[in-house]
Amino acid sequence: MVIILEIAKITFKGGMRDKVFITLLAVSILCFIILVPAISSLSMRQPREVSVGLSLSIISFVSLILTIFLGVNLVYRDMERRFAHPVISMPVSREAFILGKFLGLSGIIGSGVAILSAFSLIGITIASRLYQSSIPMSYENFIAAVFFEFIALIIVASASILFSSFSTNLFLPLFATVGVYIIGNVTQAVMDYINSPHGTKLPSPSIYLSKTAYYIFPNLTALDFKFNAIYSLPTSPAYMLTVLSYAILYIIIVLGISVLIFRRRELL
Amino acid sequence: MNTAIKTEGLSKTYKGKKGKHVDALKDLNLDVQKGEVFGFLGPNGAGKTTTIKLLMGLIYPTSGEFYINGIAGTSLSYKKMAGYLSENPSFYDYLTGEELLSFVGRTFKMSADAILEGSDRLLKLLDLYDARKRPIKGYSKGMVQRLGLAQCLIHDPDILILDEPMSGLDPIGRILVRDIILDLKSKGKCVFMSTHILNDIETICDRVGIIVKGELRLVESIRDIMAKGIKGYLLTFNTISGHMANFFKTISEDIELTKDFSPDNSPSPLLVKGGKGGLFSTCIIKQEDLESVLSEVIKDKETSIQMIEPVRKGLEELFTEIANED
Repeated sequence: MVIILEIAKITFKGGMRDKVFITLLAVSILCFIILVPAISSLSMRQPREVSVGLSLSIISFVSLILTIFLGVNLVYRDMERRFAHPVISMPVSREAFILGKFLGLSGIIGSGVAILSAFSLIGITIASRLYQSSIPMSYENFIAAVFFEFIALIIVASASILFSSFSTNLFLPLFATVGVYIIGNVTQAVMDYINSPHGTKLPSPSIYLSKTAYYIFPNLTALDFKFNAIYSLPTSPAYMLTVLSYAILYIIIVLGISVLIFRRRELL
Repeated sequence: MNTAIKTEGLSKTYKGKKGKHVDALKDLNLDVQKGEVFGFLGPNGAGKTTTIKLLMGLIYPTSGEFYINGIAGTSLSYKKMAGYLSENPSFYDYLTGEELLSFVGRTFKMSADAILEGSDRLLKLLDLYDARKRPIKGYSKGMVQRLGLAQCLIHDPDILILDEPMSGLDPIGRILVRDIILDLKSKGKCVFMSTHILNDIETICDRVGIIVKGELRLVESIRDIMAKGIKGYLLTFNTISGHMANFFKTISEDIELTKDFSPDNSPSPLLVKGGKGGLFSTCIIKQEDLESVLSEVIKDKETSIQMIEPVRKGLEELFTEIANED
């Protein structure tokens, strides 16, 4: 466990010193303080709702870029530039290496999301003062939405580690991770359509394929609580717990596969 | 038990393109003793780095096994006793030198005090102390190489596995590393090093293994190689009489007398003074003639020898012979 934490620590340090990470955060912070109140004010009667929606979308988008960029780059670069060699030559198991990388990456994503969320609240506060909304701001829902965004992102990060654990080029993990994110966001809608009266008319291979994708890819729609945050809708703790358990189980399975693959990988 | 590194039938086959297989290492059987500096020599692509990567668990053997201090290579714990320096060391370049050593120390579960003490000592020893707070990405190749040596020494391992430790170092750096290796040897540590620099092997190593095309062709002590390789002796004279010069001409084909020396025209002894200009007369004699030559020289009062040096087949010649064998 100590070794996993040590690897997580240096991975985290690397991410926090990454120029892309710092630049993206700086640009996003400016967006939150200037762009979010400005655009929200155009909505006339709903600046707060718009500012919450906009802020969560920016957090989601920027964090996704960070996750994919750092997730793919961290493990891939370790192999490509042989940073992993001195680490693996020490009494560090392949499992510890993968888990440490994942924990470190999660730490970077978590810090990024936390910093972005803190600054987004400034923009939301400014926007809220422009026009009094009829719906009160629910900070609990906002935090829940941000938290589950973070969970969705670490699922994507685990996928990026899985693809990087066997790939010898940058493009496979990059496109495969983007693919997981996109598919993960549409499988629920596709499943809903299949289960609707229109869906039964679809050819059976399409239904079979969609169902397979639904069970293989992560259901990221289930982790989307933005709507609840924007309109301060109540969220069920039991539902959140179920979704969280699903996410944790999914991550464990993906990391388990990554470890099995990485154990066999030769560091040439 | 004195064996530090033992390999038994260690082999590695890489899958090449179009289903071809490349035998990078064939049936390597090696015993390296504790307190020994073992030089692993071979041309490019001979299997040196493959062997070292197998020993460090970076790649897996196709067959065979190895033991480090008696612990099987399948167990992770043997790595606690080993320090590894790769051919072109590459470290997380956003870390500073100090942070890297601290990370390595913590990975080896050293105490904070021991890490601090070891890190300061090694950074000073390897002339990196002033650069300790700079990110590694700003280091020169030689500095990275020296930092690599520091990171494999910080936990005071019993066994050091060094892949081309002198590569990228300037002459001062090479002398420094050579002295460190000799110091490790004096402390009873085992050093297994691959190198292309034959002079390093001759001056540092106790034994050498020569590997060619994945096969270990020779394992021999440097002392034996040197003794076996003596072809004759080079005599350098302070003074030489005409009589002796003529005598040497009869037993040696490789005689070189000073320019103004002509024994046929000088029946009387000609004294040749040695000096800075290299005005020496020299002669190479066969190993078996040494005794008779010395007795002749002792009898001749006008001939004096300044130096007797063995003329030997060096490691370079031996290496070239073995590398070209097929």
